[in-house]
Amino acid sequence: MSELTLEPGTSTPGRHASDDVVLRVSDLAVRYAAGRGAAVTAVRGVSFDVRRGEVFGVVGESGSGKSSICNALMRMLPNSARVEATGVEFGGRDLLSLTDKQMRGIRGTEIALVPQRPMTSLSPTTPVGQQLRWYFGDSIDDSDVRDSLARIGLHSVLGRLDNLPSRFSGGQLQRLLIAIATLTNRPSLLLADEPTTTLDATVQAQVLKLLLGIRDTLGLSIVYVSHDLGVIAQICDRVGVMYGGRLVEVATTSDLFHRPQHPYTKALLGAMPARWTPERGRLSTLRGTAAGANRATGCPFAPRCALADARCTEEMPAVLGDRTSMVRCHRVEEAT
Amino acid sequence: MSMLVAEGLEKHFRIDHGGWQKSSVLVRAVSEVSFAVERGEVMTIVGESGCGKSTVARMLVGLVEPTRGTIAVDGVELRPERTARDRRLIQLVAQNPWSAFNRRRTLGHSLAQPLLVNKVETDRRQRRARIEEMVERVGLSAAHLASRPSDVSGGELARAALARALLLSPKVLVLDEPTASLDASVKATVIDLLRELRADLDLSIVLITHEIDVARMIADRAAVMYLGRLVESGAAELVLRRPSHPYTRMLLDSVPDPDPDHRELAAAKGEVPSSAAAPHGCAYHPRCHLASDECGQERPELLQHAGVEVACHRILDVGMPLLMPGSLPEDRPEPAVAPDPPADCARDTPTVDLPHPQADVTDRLEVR
Repeated sequence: MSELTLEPGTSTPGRHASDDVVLRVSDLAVRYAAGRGAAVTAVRGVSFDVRRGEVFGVVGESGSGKSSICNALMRMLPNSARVEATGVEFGGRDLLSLTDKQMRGIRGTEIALVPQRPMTSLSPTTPVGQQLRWYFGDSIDDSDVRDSLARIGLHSVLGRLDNLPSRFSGGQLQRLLIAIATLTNRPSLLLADEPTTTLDATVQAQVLKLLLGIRDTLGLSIVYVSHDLGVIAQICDRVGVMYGGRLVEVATTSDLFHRPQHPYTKALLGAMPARWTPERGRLSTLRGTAAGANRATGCPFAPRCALADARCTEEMPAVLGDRTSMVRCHRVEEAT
Repeated sequence: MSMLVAEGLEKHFRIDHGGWQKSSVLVRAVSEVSFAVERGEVMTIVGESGCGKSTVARMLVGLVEPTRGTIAVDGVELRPERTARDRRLIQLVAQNPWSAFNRRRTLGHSLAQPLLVNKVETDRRQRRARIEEMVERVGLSAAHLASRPSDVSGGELARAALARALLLSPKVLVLDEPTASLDASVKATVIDLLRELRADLDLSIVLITHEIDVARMIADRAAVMYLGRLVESGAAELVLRRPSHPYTRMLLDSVPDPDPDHRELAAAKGEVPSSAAAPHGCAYHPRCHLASDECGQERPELLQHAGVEVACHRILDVGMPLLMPGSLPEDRPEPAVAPDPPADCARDTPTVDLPHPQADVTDRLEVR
C-alpha cells in the first residue's frame, strides 16, 4: 500500500468535484410486495449522478424512499422487492445486470455502506478484535494499521480488542464501522445511511469530520442520506430532495439553501427552528402529512402545496434542468 | 411563590452484574439538582444522552422515587408515594408517542382513562364532551377518537398524547423530548401547538430535550446537565445564546449550522464518560480545554456569574460570553440582562470561533 496522509476534514464545496461521474442512476424504481399481488412503490423515476470526490446529500422525511435508494444500490433489499431502472452505471458496469456473485465482488469492496445504527451492525457475540481481523486480516497486527486506526479515534477500542461491541459507545462503534468500510478495501463509493442520527451532537461533529477527512484522502465519493438539514448544509456538495418516492429537486448545497426552487424544499427550509424569528410567529409552513404521496399520479407534493392546480394532481412534472441541477414542478415560475 | 420547586434531587441506581462475584456498581444518575419553575413559565433541561435529564423528568412525575431531595407543586410537597391528587398536579408526555398508547384500543378509549381512573368525570356524555373539546384544542378532530394508534400519523399521535396529559388540568406539564421522533414538517406544527398552549393555558412546563433550537424557541429559562449535575442555569436568552460554561459552549457549538456558507464542524474532544465512573472534581474536566489541576480535584459549586449560575473553576478565564452563530438575528435587540464581562477578559469582542486546541481527532491519519 502506498503512503497516504489524511488531512483534517475540510468542507470546501466542490473542492474535489470534477466531471468524472462515479455513479449514474437513471430512472430508478423500487417496489415492495404488499401481499395479494399488491405492491407499494417506494421510489419512482429517480435519476442522479455522483462525481468523484463529491458528497451527494439525499434529504427527505421518513418514508420518502431515501433508504430504499441505498439498499437498492447495494442490492440489499428483501426478495419481495423489485428494482427497475434504465441504468445504474458504476465504474463502467450496469449494477442491475450483474449476477449476485458479481455483485458480491463489488459490495463492501468497491461500494461500501455505513449503516444508521452502529450498535446493531456488528456481531454482538464476537469480540471486536476478531471482527476487525475478518476485514483487515493479519494486517491488523501491523503497527502502521494500528497507528492509523488510533488516529481516527479508535485508540480506546484497540486497547480493549477482547471486549464485545456492547462495551463500546455508539460513537466508537460508528468510527469502527467507518474504518472497516473505508480503510480495508479503499472503495470508490461510500453510501452513508443516516450514520449520525443515533449519536449525540458533540460526537456527531467528530464522525462527520472523520468522514470528510477520509473523503479528502481517498478521493472517495459519498452518498449521504439524512433528514437533518444542518448536517446536509455542513458537509454536502450537492443535494437531492426526496418527497413521496420522487426526487423533486437537485441543486448545489449553496443554491438549495439560498435559492430553493421547489415549494416542498422551501417549506422544509422554512420549518427549521434555527431559521425562526419571533416576528414570524408560527413556525410551521405545511399542513397535513406525506401519507399516500408515493401513490399519487401527479406531483406527490400537490395535496399539500399552496400553488397546486388541476394539472399538478394529474401529471408528474417533467425534469427542468439537467442531471447536475434540476427541479420537477409545474408551478416553478410562480414559486420563485 | 414558584409553581414547581425541586430541591436537591438525587437518584442513584445500583446495577448488579451478577455472576459468582456478585459485583455491583452504583450509578449516580442525578446529583444535587435544584430548580424552580414559575407559573406560566417554560424551563428546559438540555444535555446529551445519559446526562440524567430523563431521570429528572421521571422523578418529577413520580415514576422514579428520588434517592434524596424534595419536589413541591404550588407550595405543597409531594411525598414519594404519590396520591391520585398529587399525580393530577403534574403530568408527563412521554418521549415516544407510538409506545405511549394501547395499540389495540381506540384513541377515545385511551383518552378516557385518566378521567375514569381519577373519577374526574363520571358522566359518560360529559366525559365525551370534555375529551372532544380537548382533542380540538390540540388540533385533532372528534373523528380521530375512533381511530387506533396505527391508523394515525406520528404528529397526530403526539397531539393525542398532549391532549391526554392536559385532560386532568395539571399545573405542571413535563415534556420528555416531545419532538425528537417527528419529521421536520410535523415537528414544526407540534412546536407551534406547544407555544399556543403555553400562551393560553398559563401552564408551567418542564421541557426535556437535546434539540437546542427547539429549546430556544419555547423556553424562558434553561438548565444544562452534564453527567447528572447542573453545570449552568439561567435565562434561556443567556444560557442558550450566550453560554458561559465551557461545556455549554461546546454543546451549542456542535449543533450543525444549517447555513452552507458557515461551514465549521466544531469537533468536541472525547465522549461523555459513563456515569458509573464519573471523573473526579469537575466531571467535564477531561474534555475541557481550560482544565487545570484544581478542576480534577475539587468539584465546582454553582455560583452566580454574569447573570446565570455556573459551576466552573475557570469561569473567569472562559472569556466573554459568545454569541452563537445563527442564534440571534442581527436586527433583534440585545438580551435584557447584559452580562458583565469578567475582569480579566481575554477577548474584547464577541467571536464565534471557540479555541479547542486538542479537539481534532482526525488531524493526521496515515495509512500504509
